[in-house]
Amino acid sequence: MKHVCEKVSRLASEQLERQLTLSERLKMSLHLMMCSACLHYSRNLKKLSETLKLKRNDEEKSLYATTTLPVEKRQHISSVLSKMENAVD
Amino acid sequence: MSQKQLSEMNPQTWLQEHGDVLYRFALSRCKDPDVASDLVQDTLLSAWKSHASFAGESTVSTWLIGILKHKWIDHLRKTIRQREQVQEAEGDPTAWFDHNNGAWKDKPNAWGDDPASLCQNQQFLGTLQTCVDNLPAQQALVFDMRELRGLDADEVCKVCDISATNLHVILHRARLRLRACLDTNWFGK
Repeated sequence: MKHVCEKVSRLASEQLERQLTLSERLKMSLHLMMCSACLHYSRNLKKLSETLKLKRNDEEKSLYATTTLPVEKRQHISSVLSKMENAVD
Repeated sequence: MSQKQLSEMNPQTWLQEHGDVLYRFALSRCKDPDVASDLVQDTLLSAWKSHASFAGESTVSTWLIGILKHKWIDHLRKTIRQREQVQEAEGDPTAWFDHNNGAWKDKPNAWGDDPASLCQNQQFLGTLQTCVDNLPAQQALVFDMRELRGLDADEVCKVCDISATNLHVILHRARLRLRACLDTNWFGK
Protein backbone atom coordinates (compact mmCIF):
# COMPACT_ATOMS: atom_id res chain seq x y z
CA MET A 1 0.00 0.00 0.00
CA LYS A 2 1.54 3.21 -1.17
CA HIS A 3 0.89 6.56 0.49
CA VAL A 4 -0.58 4.83 3.49
CA CYS A 5 0.89 7.35 5.97
CA GLU A 6 -0.77 10.13 4.07
CA LYS A 7 -4.14 8.40 4.21
CA VAL A 8 -3.73 7.47 7.85
CA SER A 9 -2.77 11.04 8.75
CA ARG A 10 -6.03 12.16 7.23
CA LEU A 11 -7.95 9.57 9.24
CA ALA A 12 -6.15 10.76 12.36
CA SER A 13 -7.59 14.20 11.75
CA GLU A 14 -11.03 12.96 10.70
CA GLN A 15 -11.52 10.84 13.77
CA LEU A 16 -11.69 14.10 15.70
CA GLU A 17 -14.54 15.20 13.45
CA ARG A 18 -16.61 12.11 12.83
CA GLN A 19 -16.97 8.47 13.77
CA LEU A 20 -14.68 6.45 11.49
CA THR A 21 -16.10 3.40 9.75
CA LEU A 22 -15.08 -0.05 10.95
CA SER A 23 -12.82 -0.63 7.98
CA GLU A 24 -11.17 2.77 8.47
CA ARG A 25 -10.53 1.99 12.11
CA LEU A 26 -9.06 -1.41 11.27
CA LYS A 27 -6.85 0.02 8.58
CA MET A 28 -5.66 2.71 10.91
CA SER A 29 -4.94 0.55 13.94
CA LEU A 30 -3.09 -2.02 11.84
CA HIS A 31 -0.92 0.71 10.43
CA LEU A 32 -0.31 2.33 13.81
CA MET A 33 1.13 -0.93 15.11
CA MET A 34 3.86 -0.70 12.51
CA CYS A 35 4.42 3.02 12.10
CA SER A 36 5.60 5.07 15.06
CA ALA A 37 5.49 8.35 13.09
CA CYS A 38 1.77 7.96 12.42
CA LEU A 39 1.19 6.76 15.98
CA HIS A 40 2.85 9.91 17.33
CA TYR A 41 0.96 12.06 14.88
CA SER A 42 -2.36 10.59 15.82
CA ARG A 43 -1.68 10.92 19.54
CA ASN A 44 -0.39 14.47 19.13
CA LEU A 45 -3.53 15.55 17.34
CA LYS A 46 -5.68 14.11 20.10
CA LYS A 47 -3.54 15.84 22.67
CA LEU A 48 -3.82 19.18 20.89
CA SER A 49 -7.56 18.84 20.54
CA GLU A 50 -7.98 17.88 24.17
CA THR A 51 -5.77 20.76 25.32
CA LEU A 52 -7.92 23.23 23.42
CA LYS A 53 -11.10 21.69 24.75
CA LEU A 54 -9.85 22.10 28.32
CA LYS A 55 -8.87 25.67 27.56
CA ARG A 56 -12.32 26.44 26.17
CA ASN A 57 -13.96 24.93 29.24
CA ASP A 58 -11.77 27.03 31.54
CA GLU A 59 -12.58 30.18 29.60
CA GLU A 60 -16.26 29.42 29.61
CA LYS A 61 -16.26 28.79 33.35
CA SER A 62 -14.56 32.07 34.17
CA LEU A 63 -16.81 33.88 31.68
CA TYR A 64 -19.94 32.49 33.28
CA ALA A 65 -18.72 33.18 36.77
CA THR A 66 -17.93 36.83 36.20
CA THR A 67 -19.42 38.34 33.07
CA THR A 68 -22.60 40.36 32.85
CA LEU A 69 -23.95 42.62 30.16
CA PRO A 70 -22.47 46.04 31.05
CA VAL A 71 -24.99 48.58 32.38
CA GLU A 72 -24.42 51.17 29.66
CA LYS A 73 -24.86 48.55 26.94
CA ARG A 74 -27.99 47.32 28.64
CA GLN A 75 -29.42 50.85 28.76
CA HIS A 76 -28.56 51.44 25.14
CA ILE A 77 -30.28 48.23 24.02
CA SER A 78 -33.27 49.02 26.20
CA SER A 79 -33.71 52.43 24.56
CA VAL A 80 -33.35 50.93 21.07
CA LEU A 81 -36.02 48.40 22.00
CA SER A 82 -38.45 51.03 23.29
CA LYS A 83 -38.06 53.05 20.10
CA MET A 84 -38.93 49.97 18.13
CA GLU A 85 -41.92 49.10 20.30
CA ASN A 86 -43.25 52.64 19.96
CA ALA A 87 -42.75 52.53 16.20
CA VAL A 88 -44.81 49.34 16.07
CA ASP A 89 -47.62 50.84 18.15
CA MET B 1 -51.33 31.66 25.83
CA SER B 2 -50.96 31.83 29.59
CA GLN B 3 -50.49 35.07 31.52
CA LYS B 4 -46.89 34.11 32.18
CA GLN B 5 -46.16 33.49 28.51
CA LEU B 6 -47.78 36.79 27.56
CA SER B 7 -45.61 38.69 29.95
CA GLU B 8 -42.63 36.86 28.51
CA MET B 9 -43.43 38.26 25.06
CA ASN B 10 -41.83 41.58 25.82
CA PRO B 11 -38.38 42.57 24.60
CA GLN B 12 -37.64 44.60 27.73
CA THR B 13 -38.38 41.54 29.84
CA TRP B 14 -36.16 39.44 27.59
CA LEU B 15 -33.38 41.95 28.04
CA GLN B 16 -33.82 41.91 31.81
CA GLU B 17 -34.08 38.18 32.21
CA HIS B 18 -31.86 36.85 29.43
CA GLY B 19 -29.51 39.75 28.68
CA ASP B 20 -26.61 38.29 30.65
CA VAL B 21 -27.01 34.79 29.23
CA LEU B 22 -27.14 36.11 25.67
CA TYR B 23 -24.20 38.40 26.25
CA ARG B 24 -22.05 35.60 27.69
CA PHE B 25 -22.93 33.32 24.84
CA ALA B 26 -22.03 36.02 22.30
CA LEU B 27 -18.84 36.95 24.11
CA SER B 28 -17.70 33.34 24.40
CA ARG B 29 -17.78 33.18 20.62
CA CYS B 30 -16.66 36.55 19.37
CA LYS B 31 -14.41 37.73 22.26
CA ASP B 32 -15.24 41.37 21.50
CA PRO B 33 -17.53 43.13 24.05
CA ASP B 34 -18.86 45.67 21.53
CA VAL B 35 -19.65 43.07 18.91
CA ALA B 36 -21.20 40.88 21.60
CA SER B 37 -23.58 43.57 22.82
CA ASP B 38 -24.49 44.49 19.22
CA LEU B 39 -25.35 40.84 18.65
CA VAL B 40 -27.57 40.84 21.73
CA GLN B 41 -29.35 43.94 20.47
CA ASP B 42 -29.86 42.49 16.97
CA THR B 43 -31.13 39.28 18.52
CA LEU B 44 -33.75 41.05 20.62
CA LEU B 45 -34.84 43.20 17.70
CA SER B 46 -35.35 40.22 15.43
CA ALA B 47 -36.93 38.22 18.22
CA TRP B 48 -39.50 40.98 18.63
CA LYS B 49 -40.16 41.16 14.89
CA SER B 50 -40.67 37.42 14.67
CA HIS B 51 -42.18 36.70 18.07
CA ALA B 52 -45.40 35.49 16.46
CA SER B 53 -43.38 32.53 15.23
CA PHE B 54 -42.36 31.56 18.75
CA ALA B 55 -44.52 28.52 19.24
CA GLY B 56 -43.80 28.09 22.92
CA GLU B 57 -42.30 24.69 22.19
CA SER B 58 -38.97 25.66 23.65
CA THR B 59 -38.19 28.00 26.49
CA VAL B 60 -37.77 31.68 25.71
CA SER B 61 -34.09 31.47 26.48
CA THR B 62 -33.50 28.55 24.08
CA TRP B 63 -35.46 30.40 21.43
CA LEU B 64 -33.38 33.57 21.91
CA ILE B 65 -30.10 31.66 21.89
CA GLY B 66 -31.19 30.06 18.60
CA ILE B 67 -31.69 33.51 17.07
CA LEU B 68 -28.38 34.71 18.50
CA LYS B 69 -26.57 31.77 16.87
CA HIS B 70 -27.93 32.84 13.49
CA LYS B 71 -26.90 36.45 14.12
CA TRP B 72 -23.41 35.31 15.04
CA ILE B 73 -23.09 33.18 11.92
CA ASP B 74 -24.30 36.12 9.78
CA HIS B 75 -21.78 38.36 11.47
CA LEU B 76 -18.95 35.92 10.77
CA ARG B 77 -20.01 35.56 7.16
CA LYS B 78 -19.82 39.32 6.71
CA THR B 79 -16.39 39.49 8.31
CA ILE B 80 -15.14 36.77 6.03
CA ARG B 81 -16.51 38.49 2.96
CA GLN B 82 -14.78 41.67 4.01
CA ARG B 83 -11.47 39.90 4.15
CA GLU B 84 -9.88 38.94 0.95
CA GLN B 85 -11.47 35.72 -0.21
CA VAL B 86 -8.83 33.09 0.02
CA GLN B 87 -9.27 30.18 -2.23
CA GLU B 88 -8.41 26.51 -2.04
CA ALA B 89 -5.21 24.78 -3.03
CA GLU B 90 -3.43 26.10 0.02
CA GLY B 91 -0.75 23.65 0.91
CA ASP B 92 -0.67 20.35 -0.84
CA PRO B 93 -0.67 17.62 1.86
CA THR B 94 1.37 15.34 -0.38
CA ALA B 95 4.25 17.73 0.20
CA TRP B 96 4.51 16.28 3.71
CA PHE B 97 5.17 12.78 2.39
CA ASP B 98 7.89 11.32 0.25
CA HIS B 99 6.75 11.13 -3.31
CA ASN B 100 8.33 7.72 -3.88
CA ASN B 101 7.61 5.65 -0.79
CA GLY B 102 4.83 7.70 0.78
CA ALA B 103 6.66 7.96 4.13
CA TRP B 104 6.71 11.10 6.31
CA LYS B 105 9.46 13.46 5.17
CA ASP B 106 9.71 14.93 8.64
CA LYS B 107 8.60 12.31 11.13
CA PRO B 108 6.31 13.43 13.97
CA ASN B 109 7.76 13.03 17.47
CA ALA B 110 5.92 12.02 20.59
CA TRP B 111 4.69 15.02 22.58
CA GLY B 112 5.49 14.51 26.22
CA ASP B 113 3.34 17.05 28.02
CA ASP B 114 -0.23 16.29 28.94
CA PRO B 115 -3.25 18.40 27.96
CA ALA B 116 -4.08 19.39 31.55
CA SER B 117 -0.74 21.17 31.95
CA LEU B 118 -0.52 22.41 28.36
CA CYS B 119 -3.84 24.22 28.59
CA GLN B 120 -2.52 26.21 31.59
CA ASN B 121 0.81 26.99 29.97
CA GLN B 122 0.58 30.53 28.59
CA GLN B 123 3.86 30.21 26.70
CA PHE B 124 2.66 27.10 24.93
CA LEU B 125 -0.68 28.74 24.11
CA GLY B 126 1.20 31.74 22.73
CA THR B 127 3.33 29.52 20.51
CA LEU B 128 0.23 27.69 19.34
CA GLN B 129 -1.48 30.98 18.51
CA THR B 130 1.53 32.05 16.44
CA CYS B 131 1.44 28.73 14.59
CA VAL B 132 -2.30 29.19 13.90
CA ASP B 133 -1.72 32.76 12.72
CA ASN B 134 0.91 31.49 10.29
CA LEU B 135 -1.46 29.05 8.62
CA PRO B 136 -2.84 29.94 5.21
CA ALA B 137 -5.83 32.23 5.81
CA GLN B 138 -8.64 29.78 5.24
CA GLN B 139 -7.03 27.07 7.36
CA ALA B 140 -6.41 29.57 10.15
CA LEU B 141 -10.01 30.73 10.08
CA VAL B 142 -11.50 27.25 10.07
CA PHE B 143 -9.18 25.92 12.75
CA ASP B 144 -9.85 28.96 14.89
CA MET B 145 -13.60 28.53 14.66
CA ARG B 146 -13.57 24.80 15.17
CA GLU B 147 -10.86 24.28 17.79
CA LEU B 148 -10.18 27.61 19.47
CA ARG B 149 -13.77 28.84 19.68
CA GLY B 150 -15.37 25.42 19.64
CA LEU B 151 -18.08 25.96 17.03
CA ASP B 152 -19.94 22.86 15.86
CA ALA B 153 -18.79 21.42 12.56
CA ASP B 154 -22.07 22.35 10.86
CA GLU B 155 -21.85 25.93 12.12
CA VAL B 156 -18.37 26.24 10.57
CA CYS B 157 -19.66 24.77 7.31
CA LYS B 158 -22.53 27.29 7.22
CA VAL B 159 -20.29 30.25 7.94
CA CYS B 160 -17.71 29.32 5.33
CA ASP B 161 -20.24 27.90 2.93
CA ILE B 162 -18.34 24.64 2.53
CA SER B 163 -19.28 20.97 2.66
CA ALA B 164 -18.40 18.65 5.54
CA THR B 165 -15.83 16.90 3.33
CA ASN B 166 -14.28 20.25 2.53
CA LEU B 167 -14.12 21.07 6.22
CA HIS B 168 -12.32 17.80 6.91
CA VAL B 169 -9.76 18.45 4.20
CA ILE B 170 -9.06 21.98 5.45
CA LEU B 171 -8.69 20.82 9.05
CA HIS B 172 -6.43 17.96 7.96
CA ARG B 173 -4.14 20.40 6.16
CA ALA B 174 -4.18 22.79 9.07
CA ARG B 175 -3.25 20.02 11.53
CA LEU B 176 -0.37 18.80 9.37
CA ARG B 177 1.09 22.28 9.48
CA LEU B 178 0.38 22.86 13.14
CA ARG B 179 2.04 19.61 14.14
CA ALA B 180 5.16 20.58 12.22
CA CYS B 181 5.13 24.12 13.62
CA LEU B 182 4.73 22.88 17.20
CA ASP B 183 7.41 20.21 16.76
CA THR B 184 9.82 22.90 15.61
CA ASN B 185 8.88 25.65 18.03
CA TRP B 186 7.73 23.91 21.15
CA PHE B 187 8.28 20.21 21.52
CA GLY B 188 11.82 20.42 20.19
CA LYS B 189 13.55 18.18 17.77
